[in-house]
Amino acid sequence: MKANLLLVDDDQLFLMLNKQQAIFANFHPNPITFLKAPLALEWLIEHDKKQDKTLILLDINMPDMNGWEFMDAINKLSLHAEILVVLVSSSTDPLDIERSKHYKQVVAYIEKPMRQPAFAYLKELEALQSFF
Amino acid sequence: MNENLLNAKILIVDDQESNIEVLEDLLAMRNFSNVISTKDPRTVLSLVQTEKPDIILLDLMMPYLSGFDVMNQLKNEGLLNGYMPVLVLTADATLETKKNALIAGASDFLTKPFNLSEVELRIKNLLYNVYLLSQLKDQNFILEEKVKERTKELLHNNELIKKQNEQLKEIAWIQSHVVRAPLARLMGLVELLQLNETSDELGKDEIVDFISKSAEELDGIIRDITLKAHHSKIFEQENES
Repeated sequence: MKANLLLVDDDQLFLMLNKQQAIFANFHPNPITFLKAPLALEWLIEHDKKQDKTLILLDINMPDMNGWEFMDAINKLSLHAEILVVLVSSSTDPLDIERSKHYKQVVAYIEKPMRQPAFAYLKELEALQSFF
Repeated sequence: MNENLLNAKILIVDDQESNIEVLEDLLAMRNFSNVISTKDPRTVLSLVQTEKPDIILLDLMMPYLSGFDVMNQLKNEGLLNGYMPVLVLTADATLETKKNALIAGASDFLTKPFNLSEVELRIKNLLYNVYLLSQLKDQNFILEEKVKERTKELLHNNELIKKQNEQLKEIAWIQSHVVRAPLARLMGLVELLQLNETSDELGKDEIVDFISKSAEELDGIIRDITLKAHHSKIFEQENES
């Protein structure tokens, strides 16, 4: 993947798992991990360039700033880079799945754990073709 | 009024003292013990309101107020409601008079001169009708009370079901959000082992250690849910003894 890959999750183990799986799946050679959503937001602001593309694998239930608040913040900031989001949650709550449809940058909703078939699915996703 | 009709309070209204005496004697002979009377039709309304008779024996032709006028007064006060019959006393047994008396609110007629058996039978019939009517009213009241009680019970049970549904929703939420987290970790870790894909950051020993921790976490959560369900008595009927 030529785009940036950000992994945002308050659970250290999931971050390690997703990073290792992403590398093993040849999805991205060097994902950047964040334990707190505000830190990921700072990174996006600092690295905001017009031609840049960034994919974020975003957890929903996090303290301080949850996944929904994070996406609301991105929308308010009107950043220049193209940012797309894959929601990654352990929740199988249909309400969360329904809610995710209201965010334009969300291209997929994947239940944890992110395993090899999930990365294979994302590689085939039409919305992400320009990111590879 | 109770089942013993002889205790019923009877009000006689007649301007002729002799008629009142005859009726009182006849009623005494048949063991009616609660008889009051008046010669002045103008006092009937207040007597009815204070004495609350069970039946009125009413003359039609009287000075100041006729029997029709008296019935109109009672009707206007809502007192001719089926629970206090009016037995009209008349020497005029024409069809026209009877029709007018019925329209005015009379329940039956007694023709002068009085016959002992007829007086007793007509009074007893009317009183028995009132007794049955009041019994029916009591039954209706009891039924209405039962319906109210059942409705209250149903509402209470409905509240109970709502509460249980809320608790079930809460458990479903816990299952969805809390239980799945350690489960998802386990699934992810197991796949890494299967792929034999380890790294410096996440080696085989670390993976096994995390599997063990996640399994313990899962066990703790399930125990909590069991305890919560037990404390909330969610699967028990509250009114079971």
